[in-house]
Amino acid sequence: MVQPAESSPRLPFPLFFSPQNILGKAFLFSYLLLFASCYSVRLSVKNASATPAGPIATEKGYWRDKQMNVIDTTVRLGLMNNEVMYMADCPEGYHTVEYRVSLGHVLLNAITFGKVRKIKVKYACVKPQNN
Amino acid sequence: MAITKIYHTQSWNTFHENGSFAARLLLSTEHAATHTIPDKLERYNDCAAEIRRLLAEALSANEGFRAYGSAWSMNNIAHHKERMHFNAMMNIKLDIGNDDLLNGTAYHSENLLFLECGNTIKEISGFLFGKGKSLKTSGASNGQTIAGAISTGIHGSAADVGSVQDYVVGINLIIGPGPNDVVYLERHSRPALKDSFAAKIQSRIIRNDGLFNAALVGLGSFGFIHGVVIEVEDLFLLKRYVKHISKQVALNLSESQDFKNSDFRIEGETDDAGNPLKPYHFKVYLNPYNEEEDYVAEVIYKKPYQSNYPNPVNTIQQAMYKDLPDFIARFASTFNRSIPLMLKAMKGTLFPKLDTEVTGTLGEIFWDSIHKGPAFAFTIGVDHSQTKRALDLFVQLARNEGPIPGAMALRFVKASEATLAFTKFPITCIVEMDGVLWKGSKKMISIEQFNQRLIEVYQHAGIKFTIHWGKTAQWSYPGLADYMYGNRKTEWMQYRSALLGPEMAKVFTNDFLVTAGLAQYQEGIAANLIATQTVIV
Repeated sequence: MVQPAESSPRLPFPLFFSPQNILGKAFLFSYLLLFASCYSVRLSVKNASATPAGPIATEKGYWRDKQMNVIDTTVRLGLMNNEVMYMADCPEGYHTVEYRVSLGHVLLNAITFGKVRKIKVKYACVKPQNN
Repeated sequence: MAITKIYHTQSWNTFHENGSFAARLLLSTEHAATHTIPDKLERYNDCAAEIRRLLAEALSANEGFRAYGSAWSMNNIAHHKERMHFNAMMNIKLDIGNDDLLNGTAYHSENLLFLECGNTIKEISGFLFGKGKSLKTSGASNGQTIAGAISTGIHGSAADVGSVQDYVVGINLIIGPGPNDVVYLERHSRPALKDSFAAKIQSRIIRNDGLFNAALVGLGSFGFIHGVVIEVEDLFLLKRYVKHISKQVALNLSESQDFKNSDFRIEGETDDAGNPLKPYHFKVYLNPYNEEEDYVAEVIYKKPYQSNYPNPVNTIQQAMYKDLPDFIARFASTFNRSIPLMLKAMKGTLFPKLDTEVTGTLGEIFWDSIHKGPAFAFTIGVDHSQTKRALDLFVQLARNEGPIPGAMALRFVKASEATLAFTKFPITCIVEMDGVLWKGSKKMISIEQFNQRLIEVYQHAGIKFTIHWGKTAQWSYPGLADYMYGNRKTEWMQYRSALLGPEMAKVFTNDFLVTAGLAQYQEGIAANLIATQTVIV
């Protein structure tokens, strides 16, 4: 299934936002507008469980109970190339793949004519079934 | 050989962030690779030897040991400040053959499945689907491991079925470091498997109803649950309706469970005489802060399986900003009078969508639950004939001493045979409130104070009640376990003491057990208390 996912980094609510604080409200509005250009999309399988996060779960939201792997890199493509492939070790397949696009990624792509690509992908593997 | 990874830490938390709790050593065991030990049964026994080794280490270090899986419980029941064992990677599944069945048993081999502790409800449902089988019931979601699910007594709202532990047929426990410390328990009144099966998993067998029922909801304190045998059934579909229901009709139905003579009917779900059928599942949602509003009923009927039904799981799902629940909790603490308005505004998120119909398997209807920030759940069991009083007391408390940020529901479950099952009434009405975890303030009651007041109010009204072992409560309330279980509490402690002995009882004791008043070792128990009884077939 495809899941448009939460997109913003942690909001500094306690510092800036309170219902009496007009400045705070304005800040929040601008913040949400700005980061609306930054989003994640997940592709996930329906009928499998993800490899669990392990004994110390530090993530929140969708990834809290899943072992999350992150590919966070910048790739320079050759003149004749327009594809990038990354091979991960998931013996029983991928459970979830999430890619993230931000305004910065789009700008970098544009000003380098598509030759420098920022890649931010999170993924989880299917839980080994021990069969 | 199975491998155990060791993590040194200072704290640990639950899935729902109900801590954090001080912790020192987290252990995580994974099976030997399949290419080194191809046979599943051998890998299972190899893992049992590894758990025995870990127990020997805990014993020699004079430290406690607590197993846990998905950490879904909303308190410290799965926690130990010394050694914790994460077992979610231990998920072998073994079929039961005709050769394993005890002569004369009422069970059928095709409906029995042996599961290692770390299998989640979702994994099991997926595995069973491939065999044309299904679990009989589950909780409202599917992330719990089977060992955690039965240890705390998770339940759905299947009034004629019971809770997850109620379809467990056998329990494989590791109760110490020695080879003789691996035991396989069954009821002597409903035995299922031959001694040779126990021998395959290198266990000694004890068939004893009292011991089995005590160990069934064992709160993680009856030893390390390595595996369980469960009874399953043929794959079926569930048809789920969400409808408005008047408050009066909902409460009358809750107390009578008499659907046949009720005014609440769903077109097509009637018998030949036109009377409403009794549903498989009946759940009522309500906003405690809106007296005028009708309730919402989730009603599910069981149907024969057929393959041509639309996919019940939304293909595209949106997720809210992950900081929003945190924000709501903080906002609620400061402006608690706004909570009723917030609940009203969020009704579409909190309650299922009205006038919808959806069909799916059990595993599809009770689908994934995504972490939405720190959460609490008050889950109280009362006899269903007490529904109105129990609900009214809860709602009045929430209104008068709150408001607090949660929405309520009622569910109904058949009595369990487990000694400490919180579903102990003939039909237990589960009065529950789920919401975002909040901190108390000068303007708002704290969660600890609310928990205490809930117990005081129910006791003052003379209502017999129980509390779900995996949920938020004031477990240190004096005499709480005695009030809830009476003599069953002592019975449970006696079986535990007799099975484990003083040294291992200490190893398997954690703060939760001490707080709940269930840790005391019982001296002088007759040895035959846990002896195998003559089987009845």
